[in-house]
Amino acid sequence: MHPVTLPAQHGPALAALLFRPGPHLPPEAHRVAHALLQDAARNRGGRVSSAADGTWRLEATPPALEHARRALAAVLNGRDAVLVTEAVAAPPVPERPGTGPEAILAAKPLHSLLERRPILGFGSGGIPRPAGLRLLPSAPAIAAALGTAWEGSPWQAHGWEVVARRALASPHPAETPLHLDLPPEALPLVKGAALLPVLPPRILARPPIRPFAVAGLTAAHLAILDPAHLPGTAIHLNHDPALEALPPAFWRALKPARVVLEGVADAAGLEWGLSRGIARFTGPQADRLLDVLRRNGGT
Amino acid sequence: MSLAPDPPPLTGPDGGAGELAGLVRRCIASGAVRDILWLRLSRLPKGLDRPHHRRLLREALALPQHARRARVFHLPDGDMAVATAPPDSLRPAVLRVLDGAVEDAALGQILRSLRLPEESGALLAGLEESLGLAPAMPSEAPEPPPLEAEALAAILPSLSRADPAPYLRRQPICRLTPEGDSAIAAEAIAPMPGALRDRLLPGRGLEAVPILAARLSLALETRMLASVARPEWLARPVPLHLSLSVAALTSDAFLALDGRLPGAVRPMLTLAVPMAEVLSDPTGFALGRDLATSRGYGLAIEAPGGPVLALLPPARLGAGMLRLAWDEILPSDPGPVATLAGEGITVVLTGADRAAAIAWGWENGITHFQGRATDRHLRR
Repeated sequence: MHPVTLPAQHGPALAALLFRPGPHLPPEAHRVAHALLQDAARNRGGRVSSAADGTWRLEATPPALEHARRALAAVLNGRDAVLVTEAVAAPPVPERPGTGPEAILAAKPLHSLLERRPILGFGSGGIPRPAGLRLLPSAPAIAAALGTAWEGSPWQAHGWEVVARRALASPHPAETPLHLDLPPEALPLVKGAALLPVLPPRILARPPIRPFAVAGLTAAHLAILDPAHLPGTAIHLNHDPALEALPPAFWRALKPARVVLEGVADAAGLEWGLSRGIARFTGPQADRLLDVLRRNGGT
Repeated sequence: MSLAPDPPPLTGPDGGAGELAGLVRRCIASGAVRDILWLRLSRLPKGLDRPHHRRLLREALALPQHARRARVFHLPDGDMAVATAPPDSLRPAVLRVLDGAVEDAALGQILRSLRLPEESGALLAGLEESLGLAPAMPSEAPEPPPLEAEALAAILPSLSRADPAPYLRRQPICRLTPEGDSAIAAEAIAPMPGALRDRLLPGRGLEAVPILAARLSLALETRMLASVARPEWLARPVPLHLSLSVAALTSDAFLALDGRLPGAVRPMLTLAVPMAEVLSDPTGFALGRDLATSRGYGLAIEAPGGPVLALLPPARLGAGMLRLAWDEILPSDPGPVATLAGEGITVVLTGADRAAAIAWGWENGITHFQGRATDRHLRR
């Protein structure tokens, strides 16, 4: 009786699975094993080949290999067969270019898929100073990378979430506080207090306990939400004429010190925001002022 | 030259684990397709494994339409497997029996659908485990790799004609009052994309890819809408609550359903939209809401807790009903739930699997409940 050899649980990624039946392996077990290997090949994008000594070799993606390995191991346990995994140094032939959106985006440098929005803040006494950075996936860059093959929904939105997760996992810019856009499902992966996750409006159905920012609220939202009950440490709002139509009472109830007004194009927009009690801004006007601060030797 | 072996017979005397393994081998050898419904009652948590559930299950399996083309296998610890030829009409029948007896999260442990011969490996592995012959799988299963877009795109076309029944959750909504009234008020139907994933994309995780999960769910909701206007239901309509995303509410499938429903029947349908969906697309929701209410459908909002109701009152959204999910922290943070009845909003407490849920509901003027704890009251 030959023992079944199993790979270490946390070894290198599998690249091929070898199945060597012994002389005493009953024909049914043979057939089941063969069916499992063929299943992996046919339905999970693998390849099965056989050698002269009766060894079968399955090459497939690591998830498919793992699935086949587990099923085969359970079926063959104690029986006359050997199951060996082979970590192949070179990638399995032939190398198929990644055609899915995940692979296409992974091949691009991360910085080319992100948008940086420096935040300008006004402290007490109205002194302007840098107030951190918002970092978010760039929808236009993602659309350009994915091309026509993956245009529209749900692929663009999915690509956005893939890029956001990658940004979370990669080294962060030095600016603090860092407002980083994330899908709510990635929240458990967030570590560190200098990072403020920026979440989409659906998070408001069940807000997290930890500090968070919300972005993506439109005029349609603000028309139906009760501002006094809007949670969040920061609220990112795009500057737009519809905002100016909201009464001052709305802004007082919202607690405007939480707001970051985005896309402010000129001095008039900035002044309007300040008049409502808003103290943080992004956009061309903010960039201009931050530039001046930098040139004058500010922090 | 030998011909392919005969497919296994569709009926036969009850068998055991050995006969089930034999069935698997015959499917592999002959290529015949069978659906195996594997009931692991041994995995029911203590206190919930009541003998009457096993009795109900045996009754469900003895129903003429199932007994005719089904074969039953008895496995260790009271587990059972039933083999049928496709289409899988057995799973929805069994789900109906288990509903009210088993929590959603446990359902995946207790009820598994496997198709032979593709998933023979998984079935044999599970058989070996239950016979004690294989090393037990570690209880902390590793995170499954997330579903990828290409894999989803590849199966979407095949869903356009799929039968949704095995992948829909149906539960009764009961009107229960402290004075002792008890009656079934409606039936709630919701998609189970995880079950669809198990059939078509096994081994891929949905949690980390909510956009793809929502697209899968939408495909199922579309088929759910297509399956509502059946002659049996139109002849004798019962009130239904359908859980729908905004995308489904504004889809062609909904318009097609609307076209097939006579005006008198439309108020029997309540369209239930989750709060998270309203927040993701308030403009789309408003469009769908306006169409639905102008055509005479009921509209409900589904909320996962109390606080969001202060942020977005259901009345302001134009909904006449709230489906509120029960959980342990609801009593400590109920938001404005108690005032809703006074505003004319009907509240249904869902996920009411414990008596505490019904008690709390009654304290807050709620008389409609959906969940396991309603069982006890209905049986009176």
